[in-house]
Amino acid sequence: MQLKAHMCALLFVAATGAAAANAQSLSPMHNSGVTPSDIKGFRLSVGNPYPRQMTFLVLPMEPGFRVAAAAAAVDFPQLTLAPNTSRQVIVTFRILPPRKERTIGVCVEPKDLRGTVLPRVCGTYTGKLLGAGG
Amino acid sequence: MQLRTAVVMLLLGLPAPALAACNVLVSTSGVLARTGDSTVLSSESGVPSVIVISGFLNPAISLSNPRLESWPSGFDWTSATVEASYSAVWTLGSSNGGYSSGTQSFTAGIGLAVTLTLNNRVTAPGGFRQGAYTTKTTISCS
Repeated sequence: MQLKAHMCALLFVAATGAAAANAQSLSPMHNSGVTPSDIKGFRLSVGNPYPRQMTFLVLPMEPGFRVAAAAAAVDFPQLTLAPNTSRQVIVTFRILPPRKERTIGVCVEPKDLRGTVLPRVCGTYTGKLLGAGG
Repeated sequence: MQLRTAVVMLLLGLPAPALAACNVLVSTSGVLARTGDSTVLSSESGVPSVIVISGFLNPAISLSNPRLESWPSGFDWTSATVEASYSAVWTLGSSNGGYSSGTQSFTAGIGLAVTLTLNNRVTAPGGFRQGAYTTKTTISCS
């Protein structure tokens, strides 16, 4: 029974594979980089894998994905996307002294999705001050 | 400030390592139904939720503590216990979690897709008033 269900899922993925390649919910899911200032930014791709137009929230979070991150922002915190399309957003955050690096989380979740499950995709992104080593 | 923004934009242009993405699709939204026990509502008697997670390498998948999202007026929600159980299967593995009111998580192996079946259960010692009850579980791929 489980195998049957899984094969169905594989068939589903195979059928939507071409679209899914351009429709990640969040990509990349992890990244790191240096910054010469105390602000670091990352460009992320948010996609809509659903077969209908959806509005998503892009939320900067602390790495545990439970608490909103301070001193962090997303240029488009709310996105409405057509089916199987994606859009790039930029998340920026401050690395507050005396820290030399900071990791934040970013979660993407549908807005106002009815049902018993709230699907969420979260990634982590680390910024390091230039010359801080590591 | 403009200079800072320009620097940030410049750094954004630097090549990034190719890293995985993740899709989380709710294939079937669950439905709670009455059971033989008047103090228990369960999706095992109704419709379990099915979620397909794909496009990743070894994702960590977590299920938040399930919560009661709506209930009819007059129902004593403070006495209710909400629990979730799951069964996940992927190409070369599987994971199962029994009913729990806390957060559960697992790491899936490399595979094309993880099919996650989620059941929710609400237990109210005093029984249920007539009306609609809904639960919500947050499923995160990270």
